Amino acid sequence: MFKEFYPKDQTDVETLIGSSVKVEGDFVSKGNVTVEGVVCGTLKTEKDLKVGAGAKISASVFATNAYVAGEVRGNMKVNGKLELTDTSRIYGDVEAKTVVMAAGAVLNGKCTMGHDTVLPLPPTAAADAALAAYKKNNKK
Amino acid sequence: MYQYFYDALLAEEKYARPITIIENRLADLGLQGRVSRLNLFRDPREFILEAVKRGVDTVVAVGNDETLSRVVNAVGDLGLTVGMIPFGPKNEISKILGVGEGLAACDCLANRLIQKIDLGKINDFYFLSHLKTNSAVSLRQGGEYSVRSLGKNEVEIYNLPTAEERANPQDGYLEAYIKPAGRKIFGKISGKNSPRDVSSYFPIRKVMLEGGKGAEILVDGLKKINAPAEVQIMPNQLRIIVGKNRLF
Repeated sequence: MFKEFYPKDQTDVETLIGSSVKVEGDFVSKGNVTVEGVVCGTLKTEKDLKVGAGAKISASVFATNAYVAGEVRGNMKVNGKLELTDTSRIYGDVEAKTVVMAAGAVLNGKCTMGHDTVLPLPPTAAADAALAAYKKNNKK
Repeated sequence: MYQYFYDALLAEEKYARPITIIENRLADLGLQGRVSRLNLFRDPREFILEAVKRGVDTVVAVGNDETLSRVVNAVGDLGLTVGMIPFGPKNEISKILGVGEGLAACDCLANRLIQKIDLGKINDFYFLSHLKTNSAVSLRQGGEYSVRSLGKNEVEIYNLPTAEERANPQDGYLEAYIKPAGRKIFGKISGKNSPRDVSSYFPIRKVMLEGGKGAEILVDGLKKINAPAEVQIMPNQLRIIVGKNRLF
């Protein structure tokens, strides 16, 4: 269902944190990052992030695009597309331009999507608008 | 002006004729220079400092990878150009640099295709190719982050690429690899490790290598240094003569 995020030979991956490695602190990269292990603290990349199915991240995450198949405990801010697979577990707030979520993905937190210039309606105004539309349709 | 450093192994009888052929070729090309013979007891830096006073601007290592490593460490930050004529076994760096063998290496020197490449530095020792340690060593990048292994791993840091490890000696970074220990037997992953235990790699500029008691770091296959040690990249530090078929 989801295409391979990187070419199979992963020649563009600049950083790979393997399954037997733990990174603690503020990790900043200028290239693509793949995480298969453990990261605690902050994880920032100017390019794309891939979180493997066995990865555990307890950090604030910043990336251009992100593909998540593992666990993230922390807030995520993605400038472009955020893809969540069926094995992904996000415990924190997510902010992205586009979110693609597979059946079975877990997202426990606030989700903010779309362009920055489009402000979300406050909850009461949205409910009032929905109620007015319902009444109008039912009058007919 | 050229200064040649001959490795001690070239004193063997079997290298006498090849050396003569090389020297004749260098003379034909107008590249002759003074010859110094390295041994275990004399620091090549003494020869090089004397050579600089005489106006030498190019130093050529004649021997194998260890010879080149000793010469590069001695040259350090002196700003000299380094060349190589490979002889004998253990000559992998010459292939990476695209320097041929025998007369082809002399032609490479004559072509004088010079590239500025990064140089690694561990404490006060310069290294050209790589560091290896098989002890439980962790990396700490300043006050930013630390990396440690959750199991038995080997840490390797590369400046030059090899057949298995990619690295770029002109990108201003060293490539650190953390590999599961006992990973390979005849190139295949051993049964004790899960196939999912892949190597980690990431670019570094300056890190501290920290390990337990007795942790040792092997530098360019030549020198052993005890952990903890500071490893950093010196960008564009070394001028080196390369060939067209180099791997970077």
